[in-house]
Amino acid sequence: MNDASYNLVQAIRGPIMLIALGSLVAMDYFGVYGFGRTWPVLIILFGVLKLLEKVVARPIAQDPGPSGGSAI
Amino acid sequence: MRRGSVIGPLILIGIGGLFLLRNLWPEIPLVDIIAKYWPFVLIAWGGLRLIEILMWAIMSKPIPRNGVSGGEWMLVFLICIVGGSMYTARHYTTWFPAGRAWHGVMMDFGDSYDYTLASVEKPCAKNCRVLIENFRGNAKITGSKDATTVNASGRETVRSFQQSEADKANKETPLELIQQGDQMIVRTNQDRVSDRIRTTAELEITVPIGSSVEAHGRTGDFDIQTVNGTVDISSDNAGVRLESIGGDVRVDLRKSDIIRAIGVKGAVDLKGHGQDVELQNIEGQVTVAGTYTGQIQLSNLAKPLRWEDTQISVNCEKVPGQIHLGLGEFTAENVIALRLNARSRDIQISDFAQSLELTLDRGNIDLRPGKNIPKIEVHTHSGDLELALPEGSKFDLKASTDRGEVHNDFGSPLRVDENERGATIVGGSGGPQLRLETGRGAVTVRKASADETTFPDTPKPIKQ
Repeated sequence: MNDASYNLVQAIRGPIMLIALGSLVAMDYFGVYGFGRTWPVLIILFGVLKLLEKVVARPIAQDPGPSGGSAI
Repeated sequence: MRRGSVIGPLILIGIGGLFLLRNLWPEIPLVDIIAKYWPFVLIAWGGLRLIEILMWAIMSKPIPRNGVSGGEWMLVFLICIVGGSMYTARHYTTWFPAGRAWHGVMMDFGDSYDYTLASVEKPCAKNCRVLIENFRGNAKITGSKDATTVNASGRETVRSFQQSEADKANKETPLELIQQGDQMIVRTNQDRVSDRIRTTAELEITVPIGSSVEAHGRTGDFDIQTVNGTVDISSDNAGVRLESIGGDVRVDLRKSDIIRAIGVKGAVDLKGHGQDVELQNIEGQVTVAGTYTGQIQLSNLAKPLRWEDTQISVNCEKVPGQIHLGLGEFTAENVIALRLNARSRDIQISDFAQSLELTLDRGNIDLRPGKNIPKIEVHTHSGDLELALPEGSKFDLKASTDRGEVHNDFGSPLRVDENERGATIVGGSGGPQLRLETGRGAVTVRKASADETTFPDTPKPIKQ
């Protein structure tokens, strides 16, 4: 379950960033808010999505215990 | 396993559709549309991909690790570059990816500081020439009967990173009046400060009513009222509003959202690019050479109108009524001796006099002449023709289609001659020649009813 939602959160990050980028540029072109004012939204959004990924992934990350060379 | 996404095929369909649109309707300003609306391609792309991923998740199919792959991000980057460049090239802005945007990124790190500009006043001749130089901001210029001086005051906004820098910029840009013979120069000195700082001014200028005004601006609006001399405005980007101007008006703009002139006694000469144009109560000749893509409303023009556009050319001896031009349409009411040449327009003209000459590549034409029918000559390669003639009027009609149907709803004395593919309506009772031709389309001639002299959707004149 966690694995699936981790994958889902990771997969939707691209499309959401794309929609946000398109929306900000469109807003600039139509004179709502300049891209110059709104661009930090992209960074914030990326951060939030990364955070969400971590939150969803945490239980899995703890399960395998020490990672890396443990397979030897 | 590699799952197919619907995005690739959709993009192909979209590109094919755009080329088809361009081939079938070359008059559609496709480049303008793409330049302005390309961000929606990104939104649609993201939206569709999101829906796809959610669907896969619901159906418990394997989800790709990245919703948008590296290659796709490259394509997005390319779209941004191309779209941004197109937007820039169409004069919307100055630099990629959103022109204003990037400049905004630089400027918006700073803050904006407001200052009051010390008011300046100098005596001048009654018919002095007021020159506004290299101006960025909005200016309101009003002529006053009692004034014997030029008076300027206003506010200045400085955008800068530090207050000290802004204070310095404000000191470097005093508002000045400089007299040179009959000429009074209003100088804001905005070009003295560095490019990193942007100053804009809001000016209120009062001048003697007999003055002429010449303004050269970079960006900002000009609002000029009650001036009896000539008005000459040139700017990179401006909205221009003129009211009660006694002399000639010349406006040359690279970009504008609106040009409005109400009550001009001299000639009006417009050049450049822009959107809306509103001209009302113009006593001199009106000459327009440029590209105006918005709503155009012309009413009560006493002298000839010469409108030359890439899309349409209109010549008219007089417009006692009004003319309205919008995207793909032309509506006129009460015009004298109209000659129109366009690539693609739907035309509605009512109550016209003297003569009417229309040449179109494509478009439907709906004509409702008044009681006295003038000479009419209409040619279109493709489009329906409809002519409503008042009952009992005199005319000599020949309306034909090479390919299409004809409808004679007028009845006698008109008759229909049909040939292999097309047909002709001919007849009349002697009078002005009405010659209408379409290469492909229906032709209808009918009786005009008493209450349909004008088109109901003709916009009302602008309120003063």
